[in-house]
Order: sequence, then structure tokens, then C-alpha cells
Amino acid sequence: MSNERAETKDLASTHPELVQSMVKSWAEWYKSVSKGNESDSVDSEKEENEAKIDKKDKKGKGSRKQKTE
Amino acid sequence: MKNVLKIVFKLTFCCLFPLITIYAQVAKPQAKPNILIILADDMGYADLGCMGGDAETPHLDLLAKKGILFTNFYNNAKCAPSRASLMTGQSPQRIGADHKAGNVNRGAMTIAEALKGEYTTLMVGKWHIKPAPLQMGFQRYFGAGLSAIHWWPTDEKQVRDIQLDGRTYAEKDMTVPVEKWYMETEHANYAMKFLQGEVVNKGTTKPFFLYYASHLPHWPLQAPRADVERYLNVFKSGTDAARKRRYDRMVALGIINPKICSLSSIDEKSNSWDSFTTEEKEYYQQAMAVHTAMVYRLDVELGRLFDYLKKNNLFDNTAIFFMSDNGASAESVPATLPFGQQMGDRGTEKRINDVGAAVCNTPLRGHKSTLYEGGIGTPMIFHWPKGIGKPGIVSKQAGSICDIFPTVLDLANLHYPSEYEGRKLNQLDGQSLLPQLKKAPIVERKLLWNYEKFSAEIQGNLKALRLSPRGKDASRGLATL
Repeated sequence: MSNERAETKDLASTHPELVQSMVKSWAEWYKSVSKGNESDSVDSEKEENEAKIDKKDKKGKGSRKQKTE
Repeated sequence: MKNVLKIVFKLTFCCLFPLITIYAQVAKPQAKPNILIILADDMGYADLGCMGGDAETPHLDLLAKKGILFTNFYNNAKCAPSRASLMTGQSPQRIGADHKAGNVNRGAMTIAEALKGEYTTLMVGKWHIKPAPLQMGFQRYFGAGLSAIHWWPTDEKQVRDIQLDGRTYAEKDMTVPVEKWYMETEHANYAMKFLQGEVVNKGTTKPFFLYYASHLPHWPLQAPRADVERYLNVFKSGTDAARKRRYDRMVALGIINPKICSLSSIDEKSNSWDSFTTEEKEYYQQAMAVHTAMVYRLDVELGRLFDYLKKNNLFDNTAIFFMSDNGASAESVPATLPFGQQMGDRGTEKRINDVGAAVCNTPLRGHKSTLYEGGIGTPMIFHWPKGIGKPGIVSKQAGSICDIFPTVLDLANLHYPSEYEGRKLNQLDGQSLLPQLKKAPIVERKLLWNYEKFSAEIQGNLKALRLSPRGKDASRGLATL
């Protein structure tokens, strides 16, 4: 396996089993950190909220604050 | 026989006496260290002198040289998520700060709240989370909480963002003419004023916690002309040459192992120096000079603060953490020179763009708002003369911005409560790095992120990166670090 912190070589296709185990572990983590966070508990709900926030920003205070994050 | 006993008694007594003295010294509780957390804003992985950068940063370089330079340290790719995790030790998703300012008091407490009572809690600079610092455990606050401000704003709305202890900071508070006023200088001034008023003048033995959240070197590109002039010639040979120069220095400094990280062409778009027009070349030469001057200015002002601490005998028992909230930013504007003004002056609002970000994040891929190494990788400098195990090392120990909170709790010898002021607290996602700061061997870490369309996970020296978690346009990448 080559080492590459510059992330130019994708090893996913040659190590599918590693990818699978990390995908699974990520999904478990995401579920655990999103628990109790109402806006994140359901994906569709989250998307709705994000859409609302985006809309508000576009209508409201202009782009400055949004951009500075 | 009698004689022997006598001798034994004598020996015992002689041995015990110094032992008792030593024991008494050890048992006397050591004063808790002061805590100083310094956060740079949008600083690239390769911007500091000690990381191979072009800016002269002698004060921070000296911290690294006499402390520990962590080169595999990670933030959360963007202002609010990084700041929320730094203050609470939790993943931004737990507190709704995965994109916006979140609500830190929902399931979390800040470092200032954890230290309150035992420490004097002070803050200057950018907050970018909610609620405000004075509501979240800080006793004193100066700064603009949200947008980056350098010169005194020409926009009235922005002026109102600048706060001093819960009221609006105004021109009457200035000690220099408006034209000369520069935010970073004021950050350092107020850091020292707060320390003078709350610590030195009170003659207290109570340790302090100071959170110094700079706006530098976040755009708009603005810096004193004398600082910019130091760097105008540095980028004459172009951005490709600058990347190469930084990479070579990083290899020489032992930060990058050329066997495991090459300097490859990493951008999808071709941004080669030769493809630029004369005006674009002039633009990037100046833009990078201003950005570099801003990193230099950060170091100058921090140098004043460190001198102040030394003068007041507060430096040696202060644990200092320094890092950036995310990588350099590729948020871009047209590469045209400001009309009738010099870039960097008050009122100009230029940026280094994707072209400059690639230099600042050398040799990493990506930039702010991505989970590539260039988005989340930051140098982390730890310095504490009284408590560090093995000074002067470059550590490959992986760590996360979530680790700072539990590390500080450990330093202050405090426990994380399950509840605070009626708030039930979530578990911490970070872990204390105190053993590693005191020279324990490297431990393998599992670090996880989600930012917009990116998901990422690091396990040991493996990193998995995925675009679009909802399955649309999903692409996966695996790299070893």
C-alpha cells in the first residue's frame, strides 16, 4: 500500500473491505452524535431545515455574514 | 552490637530527614497552570515559519522549538464547527454547530464555564458560536464575534459588531487615530489590559484562562504597508515556486517525509503560474504578500503578549495551545487589482483565492470547507515550560480540536460533570492529550467528521473520505497518512 497524505491516489477500489468497515463505523458514529439533536435526527427533516436556513440567508442580511463563516 | 544499632539509627535519621523535606515539596499542591488558547483564522498548514512558510514568525517558532509541534492535528474545516468543538470538546453535530453557529448551551458547557470559579476567564477575538462569550463563562470580552475585521470598518454595520464587555466598542475607546487602528493590535492590547486588571493588579494567585481568537489571516486581505513590503518580492517567482519552496523546507524541517507525501499537482483546475496574465501574476504576488504580512502581524502581536507574560512572571506556568480553525480559504473573488488603492489598505477587500490557498496548504489537497487534509489539517503547538515532558519534538500523534477541552480539564485537575446549570451534558468526543504532552507514546486514534457533502474518518494511519453521504454522486476515497 502506498502512503500518500496529499490524497492523490485513491486506494478504495483495491481495498473494498477496509472501505466497507470504515463506512459502517462512520454511519454508527453519525447516528450516535446526531441523537437528541432534533434537526439532525431525521435526514429529510435536516434537509428541510437546511433549505429553510439557506432561504432565510438569501432573503435576509445579504451575503456578507454567510460568506464569512 | 550497640554500635551497629547506633549507626543504623543515625543512617536512618540522616536519610529520612532529606526524604521528609522532598516529600513535603512534592506533596505541596503545584499551582494550576494558566491556560492560553490561541486560534488563528483560515491559516494554511504551511503558513508559519516553523512549518516551512514564508512569514517570519519567530515567537511562534520559538514556542514550537521549546514545546511540541503536532503535525497531524485536525480541526473541523470551518469556523463555527471548529470553534464549537474547541469550546465544548464535542462533535459539532451534537450541538447543532455542524454548519452554523449552533447552540453551545444545548447539551454542552464551554471551557470557560468548566474553569469558572477556579480561574479568571478572559477572551478576545472571534467567537462565532452562540450564545455570547459573557453568557458562556467569560468574565471579560473584547472583539468582533463574527466577521473578520482588520482595519477599522468602513461599513457602519460592521462597526456595531465590535464589543467590549457587553457594550459596543466605539471610536472614543481608541488610543490611536482611526486610520492607524488595526484589530490584531487591539486584540493584544485588550488581552494585556484584562490580564493587568484581573490578575496582576489584584495580586491574585488564581490562575487565568485566556482565549485569544485572532481574525488573522482571514480575508479581506488587509495589513499595514510596512508589513506588506517585507513580502512583496517573495512571490515574484510565482505560486508554483512558492509551493515547491515550502515543500522543500518542510522536508528539511522533518515535517514531511518525502517518501509518504509528494508535492503533486493537486487541483482539478489548472492554476499553473505560466497560465496567468500579467495582471493576474501581479494580483497574486500582492495578495500573497498581504496574506503573509497578516501571518507575520499575528506573530508580532503575540510576541508582545508573550513578553508581557514573561515580564509579569506568568509565562513559565502557562500552558499555551496554538492552532488554526481550518485550512486556508479558496473562497475567491476576481483576480483584479483594487482600483486607485493599494491592496491591503483600509477599504480594500481582496482574497488569496484558490490559487493562494494551494500555496498556504502545501503540500495538502483541498482547502477550508473540505475534509481533505488541506481543509482540516493544522499545526498545533503546545508550550508549557513547567510541565512539558520532552520539549523540542515534532509529534506525529494524531489529535483533534475536540481534544483541547478534556486536555484543559486534565491540566486544571477537574472532572467533567454530567450536568451544569440545569443543562444535562452530552459525552465528550475528544480525549485528553496530557499523557502525550508529558511524553507518553503515540496512541492510535479514530477521528470522524461530517461537513456538508463530505464524510471522513481516520483510523490509525488510514483515512476514508466520502463525498455526498446521501448516495447521490457518492465517491469514495481511501488514503494512508
